[in-house]
Amino acid sequence: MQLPHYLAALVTAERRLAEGYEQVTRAHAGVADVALTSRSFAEASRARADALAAACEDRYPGGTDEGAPASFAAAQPGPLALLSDLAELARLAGFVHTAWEVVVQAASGLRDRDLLSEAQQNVSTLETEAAWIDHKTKTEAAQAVLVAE
Amino acid sequence: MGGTDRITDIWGARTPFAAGQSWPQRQDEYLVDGIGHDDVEKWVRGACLLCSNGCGVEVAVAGGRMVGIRGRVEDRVNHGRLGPKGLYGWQGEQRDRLTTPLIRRDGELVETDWETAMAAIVDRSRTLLDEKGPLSHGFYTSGQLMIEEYYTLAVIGKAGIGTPHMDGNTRLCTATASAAFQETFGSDGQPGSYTDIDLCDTIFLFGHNVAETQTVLWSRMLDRLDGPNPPRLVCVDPRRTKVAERATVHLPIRNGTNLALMNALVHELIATGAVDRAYVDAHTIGFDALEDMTKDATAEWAAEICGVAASDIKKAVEIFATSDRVVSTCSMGFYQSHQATAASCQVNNLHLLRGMVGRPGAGILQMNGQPSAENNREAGCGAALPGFRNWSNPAHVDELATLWNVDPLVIPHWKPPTDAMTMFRYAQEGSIGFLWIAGTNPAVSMPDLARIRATLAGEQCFVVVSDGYLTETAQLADVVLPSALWAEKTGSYTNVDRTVHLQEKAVDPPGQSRSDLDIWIDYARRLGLHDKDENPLPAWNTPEAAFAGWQECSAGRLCDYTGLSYAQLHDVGGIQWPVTAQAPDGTERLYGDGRFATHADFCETYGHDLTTGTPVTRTQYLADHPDGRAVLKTAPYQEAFETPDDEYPLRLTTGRTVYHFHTRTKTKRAAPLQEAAPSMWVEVSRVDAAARGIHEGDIVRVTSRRGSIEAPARVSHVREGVVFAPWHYGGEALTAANELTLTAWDPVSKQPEFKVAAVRLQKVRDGDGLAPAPLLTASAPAEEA
Repeated sequence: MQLPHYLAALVTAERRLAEGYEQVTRAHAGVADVALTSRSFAEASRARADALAAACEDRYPGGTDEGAPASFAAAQPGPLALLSDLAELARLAGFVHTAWEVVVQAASGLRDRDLLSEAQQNVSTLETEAAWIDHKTKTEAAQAVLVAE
Repeated sequence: MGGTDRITDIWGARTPFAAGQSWPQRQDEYLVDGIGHDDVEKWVRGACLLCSNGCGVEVAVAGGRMVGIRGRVEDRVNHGRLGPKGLYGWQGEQRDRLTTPLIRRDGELVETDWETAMAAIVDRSRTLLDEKGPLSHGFYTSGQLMIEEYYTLAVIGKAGIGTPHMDGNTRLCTATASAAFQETFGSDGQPGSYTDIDLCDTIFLFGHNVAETQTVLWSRMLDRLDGPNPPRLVCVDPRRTKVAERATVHLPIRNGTNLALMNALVHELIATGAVDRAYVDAHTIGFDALEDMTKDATAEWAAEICGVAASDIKKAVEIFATSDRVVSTCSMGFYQSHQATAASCQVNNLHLLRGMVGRPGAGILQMNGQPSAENNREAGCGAALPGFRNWSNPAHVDELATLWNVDPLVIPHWKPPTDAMTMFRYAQEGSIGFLWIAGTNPAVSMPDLARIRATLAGEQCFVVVSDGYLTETAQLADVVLPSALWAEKTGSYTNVDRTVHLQEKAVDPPGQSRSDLDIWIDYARRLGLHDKDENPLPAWNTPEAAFAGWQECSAGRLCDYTGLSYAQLHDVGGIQWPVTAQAPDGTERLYGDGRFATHADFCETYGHDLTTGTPVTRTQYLADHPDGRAVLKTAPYQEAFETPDDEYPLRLTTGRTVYHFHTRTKTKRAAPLQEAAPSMWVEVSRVDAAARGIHEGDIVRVTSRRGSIEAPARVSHVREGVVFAPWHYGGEALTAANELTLTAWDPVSKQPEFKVAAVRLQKVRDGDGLAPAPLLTASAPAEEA
């Protein structure tokens, strides 16, 4: 069964997503809503990673994270860099979202109701995060590409 | 002072009345010393502009000057009464006025003429439009102008230039009222009426120190409280205000915990079986999600977070559940906080759950801060389209494009509109290179003032300020234009409960001052703005023609003005919109039939996620089939952006005093008001003062991560752990409360967080007597001096 490996990769992906949010918080501190929301999302992502890591240790040990996505590219300040950083967040959040959807199926198949409940909740949460990333991109895009230096 | 005294007798003599009776008339009047009735040459009609009540007035004129004022007894808003600011504040217009344009030369503002000033403005504007396009321009306006002016600038900005960067200082005071209406009812627009106060059996005030912010509305409430069968009163406020002193239940919650309380009130209301299921089933969507999201929000849970007794929360719920006619008001205590929209939506939700919307005595009053804030919102001068049209609905954009005869692509609907906080960031970064600020003073009123000053003073952005005074903001501008103020021009504005007034010109403005309408028309003409057929934009030159243009724009929308005329407003006084052929005398309440403005083709918004602010898509919205039903929604409670820690152990909150309005541009120049509250103070609790060796009047320093201020301490009844600072006091010394506040805002309304910042407090030196804080208000000392 590959699920322990898949879950290990998801734990790593969540931690990399959290690191990405934290980098964005630091690099774009002057963009208050981006910084504050990213700070909140980072905390949520770490909490999800910790909870899943605990579940792995308890029920699905021994996985390796080889399938995890690449780490977040270093965030840079500035309007155009913000678009790139949001795209990076979208990449990682997209991976994590899809992975939790996979876990919904796996948990269903295993009748692991605790994991199923956790995964269903997290799918919904990641949809919210992805929608926010998309919205912020659209909010900042025109100013960044048409006017900003 | 001649006539009424509203300094020591703030709310005036009581005229008690019972539910269902008409509020008795009481005319308040003030004439300056040496002027008698026989000296008054004319009384000019209008409405007060110094709080969102918008009391009907008549201005006394003699020798070409304003010499007094009186309330209009026939006016539906005030029945003749006036508060301290209404009675005396107009005198501030007679001192220290700008009389000529100013332009910056070699770093200094120097006097110039209109031609030079406007040429400089238009040259910079045209250059930037040619080189960088419309996104280089921003317009930051006010809640003090008139609908004719707002709509004119909306057309200039959105149909002529095509910039999405337009907002008002209404973002700081009333944006959440608009956002909460839109989320719940599908559109901005006050459901209730002030006459609901006359009929109700219960009043809930959520974060609303009405006794100081709308004194005449509080007089109306006091007259009910002192009459037969008085209403029960529930007050949510961390301070022991005059409202709290009259409350049946006072919930002095920690600032920053509003949503925890509101989720608990809704939870307990549902749990006690008090929901009007027939109404909810017929007229709302979202009940199951609301119930689920609040299922763990018990009174005991909220009590721990909010710092009040669970029994008091339950008592408040019991009052709401057992009343037939509740009026709820909601104001800055809720609006200027991190989960402002969600908390304010829960006020709407309480009423929907009990079927108490739009019927006599059962209403919602989401308050405004200024009497023309509503007009900025409805005219589309801010981050919205005129007439409560939907920014995300192409059909609504096409309507405007047809009305204005412009290409729909000129109207900047292809990106989300820009809120004030983001506009100032763009100005700071320099991508907005032309910022026009009209009738407002962000160098005192915005959060984190060091950042705002640096933005306005920098070379990266050309700043135009039109104002009546050389404010803290004007001092940082590149060009300053002298504006006509209230009663120096004709125009209309709309108060909290949709009451429209016409203010008629009483006197000429000083020197070369011009109305904002004239200034903007001049700017548009010099810039050569035009429609598709080369006709000038805007198409008008006078207030009445601008009003006619606005009426055409408002036709068929919730805020329909088509049935109004200047003549009718002159004769009657205040009239509530919508005013149409079907409702020629106005409309007292909205939604009495339980049909809301949520149809997808009509609504102003499809809504937002209340936690992140992400817009709901049209497809998602349609899937829920609102179709005229109200939307019940909330969000989970989260802690404030910044909470106390070891380094900054106290919670700052900011607010107002009864004697001043905003940054005191007018009220500090009105002697009775200025003498009543002459300079800055901060309020601390007895416990916090004792722990730091602070006594009444001692000079203290309050420090946050953004800056620090020094001021005398008033040891007051403010909640332990909380420091209160009035935000009115700018000036040379750094005394403004907003030196301390942080740059953060509610994700939906984008209204800044002014109600929570972590601070530390220390004594600097002994004082020499009482702090200069009022004695008759919430700022009263905790112990007799």
